[in-house]
Amino acid sequence: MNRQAIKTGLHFAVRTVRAGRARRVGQAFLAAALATVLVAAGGPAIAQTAPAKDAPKAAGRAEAQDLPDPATPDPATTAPVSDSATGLIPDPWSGPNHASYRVTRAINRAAIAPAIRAYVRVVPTPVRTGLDNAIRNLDEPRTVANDVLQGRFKPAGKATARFVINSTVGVAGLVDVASRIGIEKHESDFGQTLGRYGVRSGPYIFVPLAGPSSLRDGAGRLVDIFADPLGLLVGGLGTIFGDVRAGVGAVTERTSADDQLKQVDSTFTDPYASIRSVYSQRRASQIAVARGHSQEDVSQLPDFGAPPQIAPTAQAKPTAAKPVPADPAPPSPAPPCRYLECYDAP
Amino acid sequence: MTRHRFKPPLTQAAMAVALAIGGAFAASTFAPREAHAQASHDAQAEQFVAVQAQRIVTVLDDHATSPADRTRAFRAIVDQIADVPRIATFVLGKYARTITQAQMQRFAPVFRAYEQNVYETQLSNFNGNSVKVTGSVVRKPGDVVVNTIIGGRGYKQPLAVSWRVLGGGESWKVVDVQAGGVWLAITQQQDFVSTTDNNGGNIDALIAQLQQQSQQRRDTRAR
Repeated sequence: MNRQAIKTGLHFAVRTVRAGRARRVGQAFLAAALATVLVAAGGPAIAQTAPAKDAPKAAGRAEAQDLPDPATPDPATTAPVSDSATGLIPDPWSGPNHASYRVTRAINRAAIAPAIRAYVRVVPTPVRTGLDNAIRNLDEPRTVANDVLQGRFKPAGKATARFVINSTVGVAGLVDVASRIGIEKHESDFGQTLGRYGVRSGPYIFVPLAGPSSLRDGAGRLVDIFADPLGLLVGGLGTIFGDVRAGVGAVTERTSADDQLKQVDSTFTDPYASIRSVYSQRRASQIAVARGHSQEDVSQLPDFGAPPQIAPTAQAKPTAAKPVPADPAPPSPAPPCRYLECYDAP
Repeated sequence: MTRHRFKPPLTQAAMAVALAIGGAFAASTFAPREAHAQASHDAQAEQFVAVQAQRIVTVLDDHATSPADRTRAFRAIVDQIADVPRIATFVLGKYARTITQAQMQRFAPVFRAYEQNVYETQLSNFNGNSVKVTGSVVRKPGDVVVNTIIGGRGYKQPLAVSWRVLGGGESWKVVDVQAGGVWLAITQQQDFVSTTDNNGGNIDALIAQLQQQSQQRRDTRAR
């Protein structure tokens, strides 16, 4: 059934593109087919391996040079993690991801951040807010589509109401009238939709210039781009509307994240690990909501046990050089901890 | 020659998405859903959070006082309501088992200053002035997650914040705070363990880095 679905999808997509009838529709099909192939390839493999709680967790992976040896896969990085609030998205591609992070950070510091701050200085706040509102308003049809696919009809109704109100009374979305009358904004994407139906995250990916993602969420993003309802109706990438929308959207999104990004280096001691942690938790929470829960399953949170006996003499002697051991294991067997590393009261 | 009927793009898109969903359905074999326990609520924990969270929000929103006084008042509340020693041990993760007393004596004050600063920065960003408790979930007796909505000035939308509290009766302590799906202490644990791993398990390197970051923040403020 699975293979048949993929075969049918690809066949139909290729025929559609060859026929040259609708380039955009062909793109949408190809994106959907790609997503299908990715989840078909990744989903079962990820779902069938051991549960996260039985494996050491991936946090604390060392620097980029510490790529796992393919011959002896490191369970810390290949272990799957469910979309629970307490699990990290696995990072088997830690080396390329670290490299991508470093490049992104360098470009951000050298070019993007100064450009964004110049934009903030030059463009008045009301204009920036209006642009941000308008761009976000264009995403509402995508949210509606994903809400419907997730079987969440009440949020779909809210997003529809927001789109109608803001597009009309809110002057093409420039003013967020809907929020002012209590119709709150939310966002849904195809990665969430896949997660809602049990597709696991797959490996963590730090996309150059775009930031944290995962195999599932990256595939979902492709579907969101190429099968975006408004993009298909008015124009996607490659059209003036689509290109302006993407360009302005990138600027407004980066601008709204600027304050948080500025705090990353002063808040975290290992920004790469922390960004991965934040992304993993946030996506888990969003997928819990997509599954119809008000929040994540609190039973999976780690225990805050009583402090353990602290060794009176030095044990944690510093080692001189990197790379560090893959996992400086504790002297005693690990307690049955569901999260990274925690301890229970003795 | 075969004739192809025209299909509206939206129909095609819907079919494409349905196709992907179908593939996901087939491929994922419906990973077992986590059972969400229907835990009861804890009225006393809710009362504790309602009072203390309102105190915090009121202090941070009090722009009549100087920033220095506001910071002092905020830190006094954090010292009262947060179980900082327990959090300090938790965020060390596996290294809580190997840290020496001497190292802990150095780590604890550095972490306390760091923690107060992070709480203050994060909560100041919320910029709200009212707290409403929306419910709570008992993980196990004495371990409760209390959900609140912080609303007020500066918001387009109210912000959902969850507080994890440990204790019982009228005696509770905050051990973690969540906003936007992200728990602060859990993130710190991953951050600190990763940093310590990267330094060969040397906790002194983590302590030095925290001290350095605290100094940088002080310098930034002084400027």
